[in-house]
Amino acid sequence: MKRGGLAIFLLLFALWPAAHFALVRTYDVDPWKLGGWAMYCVPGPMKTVRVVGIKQDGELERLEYWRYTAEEKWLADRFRELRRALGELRSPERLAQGMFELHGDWEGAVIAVLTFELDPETAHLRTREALSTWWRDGRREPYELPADFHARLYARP
Amino acid sequence: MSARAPSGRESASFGAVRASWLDWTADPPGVSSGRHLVAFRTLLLAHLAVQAWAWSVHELPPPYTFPPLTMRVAAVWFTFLCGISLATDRGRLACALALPAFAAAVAWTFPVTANHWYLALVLLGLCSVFDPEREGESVLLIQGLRWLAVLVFFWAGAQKLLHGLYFRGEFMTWMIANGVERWSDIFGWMLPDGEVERLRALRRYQPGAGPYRVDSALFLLANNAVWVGELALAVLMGWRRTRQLAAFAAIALVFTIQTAPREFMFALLYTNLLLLFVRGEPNRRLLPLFLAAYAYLVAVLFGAPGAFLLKAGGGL
Repeated sequence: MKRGGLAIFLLLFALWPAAHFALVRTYDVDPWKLGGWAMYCVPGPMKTVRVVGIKQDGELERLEYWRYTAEEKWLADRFRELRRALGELRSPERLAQGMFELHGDWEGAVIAVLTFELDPETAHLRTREALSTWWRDGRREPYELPADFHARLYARP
Repeated sequence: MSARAPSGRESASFGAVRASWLDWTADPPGVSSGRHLVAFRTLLLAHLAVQAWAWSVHELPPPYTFPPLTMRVAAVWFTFLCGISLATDRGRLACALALPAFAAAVAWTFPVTANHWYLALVLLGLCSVFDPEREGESVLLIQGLRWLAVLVFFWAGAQKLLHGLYFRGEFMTWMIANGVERWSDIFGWMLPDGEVERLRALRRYQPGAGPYRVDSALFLLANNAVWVGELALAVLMGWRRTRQLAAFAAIALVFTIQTAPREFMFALLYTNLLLLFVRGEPNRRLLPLFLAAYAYLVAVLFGAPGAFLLKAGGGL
């Protein structure tokens, strides 16, 4: 009984890192976390999160990290931390909902997650962006981004 | 086609195959690992105690900060259980009593939990289930623990191979450029003149920054030796004839790798595990030395000389 249990446990333990690798590749899960034994394989995940509110009149309001209120900072930091560990398994939905509670004049929010990673081919740093739009009423429609959206999103102050 | 029940002979051979892979890490007939494992168990509890003292002195950042006093109580609890394991024959009970508290700590920090906490949790689980002072369970425990050591080592090497940032040294170059100073202190001497300065001038959040490669044959050799060594040693630890030498080499590799990030807690935990491959009960013989090392790490946390033993953030 105990021998069989040990054998099954060891089999699962042996197979988990393969599943972990698949999660890393498919969902951008952090290789350093979740027991896949892939520490010191790639640089630790580098992600930045930007939040842009869509007001009722269609005006966009970009939240500046250095001007976050304590509540905004907690929400954004918590999301970034969990997104770093769990990748796309962690949806920005809760961050958007939290922001709607803090900003009563927002109809929607665009959340951008920018990932910096080391390109194995060129050995240079490259970026990947994941944009998602969230609406207060729960609908899932994309927002038509203005032409200068990215310039405004990543503009330095 | 009708289903056919296996004959007694087929069933026996299937059973032999099923049992054989588990036995790859077994001791030769007539060798008992009981006392070896009892010492391993005590050291595991000492490890948990030191980890809890570290958490109580050097708190994790929010939202993973443990509730006030929780870790101090846990540190006292684990230290008490370590004492029980050391002084009595109730070590398995001590592990079983430590398990819920440590599992709660792991759950509290999920999903950012460090991998060596998972390893410690698994080791604790096995030591809670199997009693080394019972002959049959002692055999299963040593097999299980050795398999864990082999699998972790194997996958550590395989993951480096799969992620592909060791062939031309990109990962280590990145760490020299962006990691804390210690990476360049330990590995920077292998790089050509001026390369450390070039790398450290690259900006971390600058798309296109690079290249994170250097022209040094020695550096590339060292990088590739890491994953090749991990894979090869994992295989060699599975063979009875080579396991002892492989375990010594693995301990040397672990300490070499972990010196830069100062992961000495992981190095001690894993050394305790790897010594299970070595004849002559080294875990038991080295128990006082291990306990002294753990005690000194706690003393450093409380201000004793030896800050170089701490991680860059000041913790263990």
